[in-house]
Amino acid sequence: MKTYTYPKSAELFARAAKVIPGGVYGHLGPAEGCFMPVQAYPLFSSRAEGAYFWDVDGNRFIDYMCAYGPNILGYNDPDVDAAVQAQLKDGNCVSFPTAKLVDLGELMVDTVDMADWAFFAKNGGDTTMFSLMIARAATGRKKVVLTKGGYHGVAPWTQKAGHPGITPEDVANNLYVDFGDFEGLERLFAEHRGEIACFMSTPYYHPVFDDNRLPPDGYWKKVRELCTREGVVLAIDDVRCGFRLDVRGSDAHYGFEADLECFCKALANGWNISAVCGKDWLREAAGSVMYTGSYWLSAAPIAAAIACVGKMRKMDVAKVCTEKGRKLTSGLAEAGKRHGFDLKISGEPAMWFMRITDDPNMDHHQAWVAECVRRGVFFTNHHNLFINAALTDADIAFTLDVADEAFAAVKKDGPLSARKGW
Amino acid sequence: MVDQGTLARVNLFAVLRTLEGLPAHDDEARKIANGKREVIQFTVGGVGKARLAIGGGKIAFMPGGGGATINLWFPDGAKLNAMFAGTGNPIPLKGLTKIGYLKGPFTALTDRLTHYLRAKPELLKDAKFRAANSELSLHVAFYALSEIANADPDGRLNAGRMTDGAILIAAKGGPALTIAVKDGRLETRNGDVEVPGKRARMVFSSLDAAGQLIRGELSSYLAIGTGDVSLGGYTPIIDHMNKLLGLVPRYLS
Ligand SMILES: Cc1ncc(COP(=O)(O)O)c(C=O)c1O
Repeated sequence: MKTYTYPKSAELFARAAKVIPGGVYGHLGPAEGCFMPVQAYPLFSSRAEGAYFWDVDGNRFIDYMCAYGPNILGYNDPDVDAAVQAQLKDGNCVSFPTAKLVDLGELMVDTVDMADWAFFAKNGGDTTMFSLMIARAATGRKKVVLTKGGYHGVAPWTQKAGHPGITPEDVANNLYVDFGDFEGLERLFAEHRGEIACFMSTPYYHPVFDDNRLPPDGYWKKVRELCTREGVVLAIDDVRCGFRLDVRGSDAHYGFEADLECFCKALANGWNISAVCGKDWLREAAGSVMYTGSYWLSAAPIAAAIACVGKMRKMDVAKVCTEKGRKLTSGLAEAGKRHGFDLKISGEPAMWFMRITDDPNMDHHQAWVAECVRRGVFFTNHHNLFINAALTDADIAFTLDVADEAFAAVKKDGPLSARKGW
Repeated sequence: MVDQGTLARVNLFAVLRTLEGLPAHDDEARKIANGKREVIQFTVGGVGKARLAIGGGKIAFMPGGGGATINLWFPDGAKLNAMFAGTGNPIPLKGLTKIGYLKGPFTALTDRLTHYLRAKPELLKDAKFRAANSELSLHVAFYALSEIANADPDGRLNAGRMTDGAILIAAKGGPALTIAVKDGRLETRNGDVEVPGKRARMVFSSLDAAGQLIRGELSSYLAIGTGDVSLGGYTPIIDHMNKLLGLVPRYLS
């Protein structure tokens, strides 16, 4: 199999370096994205379609990052994009919302089990911040309990003291507990009785670097009861999992009901819109918080969300992605075994996490991922991966061939640190 | 915010130590190292002790106290920092008669170090000077990094999040350092030394790339994209390492 090179990506990066901090910043960039070694990775795409993107050098990739979640139906989904085009003819960002805002509100309430109302914004971080503000407005309390290793965006309160730009005051109202540690949560609630506004968590544990963990048996039921008893708002950050596990919301998937639920990524197949859904008792508080933005009620992304949610429901997208995920991940693990590597799969199949075990330095894993990328299968090293509905059986078969060859290459050449001239 | 106690640790355990490497690059430093043997002990209230042995053709840095021919005492870190900033003097406790050595050869040595570390742009055009600057800067920056990790409030927060192990810092074809992490405390060692759990690496494409990065000519995040810095191995250590590296200019600029 031919391996890729990226001269045009490198050229563009050199141009970017002059005018953009970090060249490509954030999770799509080589630093946060853990491109190791960077030479194995493209840095810019030129177009995308279905399950693929092409980089600026013309290399094709099966994209298992799905733009870190938004691509759920396949890039350039014809139905979603047609809804956007039609809306654009009528206008987009105007002084008033269109009727579609109400249509989408109704659709969300009808689709998401826990939802009595829906509120729309742009990014996932808007929705986690808003949820916390609603909880504070409703309870008159300050503190929030978060799980260690959880990610809720980039607002200062979601980051760590000591990181650039973050002060100790920014995180002074945060308390932390391990995901799944019910007793620890109970203890925190008791120690800070009457101070905690909100417990915010993703529905399952999907950190970077670590094996992902599903909620322990009975965990969410107990947490639900505890929050109700203590008057704490239970906010589920479904930004990453939303619709991939269950179109009814990931709380419904795990058999409980959140007070607030945050959606973003898969909501509109890549068009920029996010949502908070809530229970009736928080409606007033949600209405009372001053929270808005220039583009939040723009009509085109709303049209995209209506089309996307409708299509996801119709095809049962979570089931589709879960089945494809199972098929792919079992094949990947088998490919590893053939070459003597134990590839451990964790999390939910539609957005699985994987790592080679017996590899304490992560060296073999990084080498294997790099070998896959250079052969047209885009994985990242230490973040969960994503399945989209456009992925075909042929794509899965191709991926497994690549994975097999990549394992063979790592077996032969060893991890990067063992190679000459690294 | 610059914490005076941390700055004093950086001065005592990173900057002073870097004098060790000076004779390899500088004629004047070599001459002094070949001259009369003196052992200068620095005692800094609330910070610690270190000794510098000059003579026999080399300069050796030794953390901790011991026998010395000249004893310098600083009541606190701020006074040591004042000496390094050129705005204060130490109080000699022993070897009062050696004032001449302090004012002469020792001051000349520190001036030479400043000459290399705070390099004037025109001097950096000379390849040999540039290489010396890069090597000494790499050394001082990564020794300072451990002091900052152990003492600066932001540094401690980040170091506390690190897993035990070690990371290799190296320039291709050039010098290497090893930073060991244990219970949230860091220790820099010279060279690619075998320590348990050496799990990650930060490799500069060349000594010059390392120098550029430390001089602030090259952004570290950018350098990852261009391959001038290649990171690999156990990512949770590297991640925090980058955050610590970001704090170094606070203390060395
Ligand atoms: C669980 C979770 N919450 C919040 C966010 C933040 O979303 P955004 O980047 O759209 O602000 C993300 C993004 O990755 C996420 O995965």
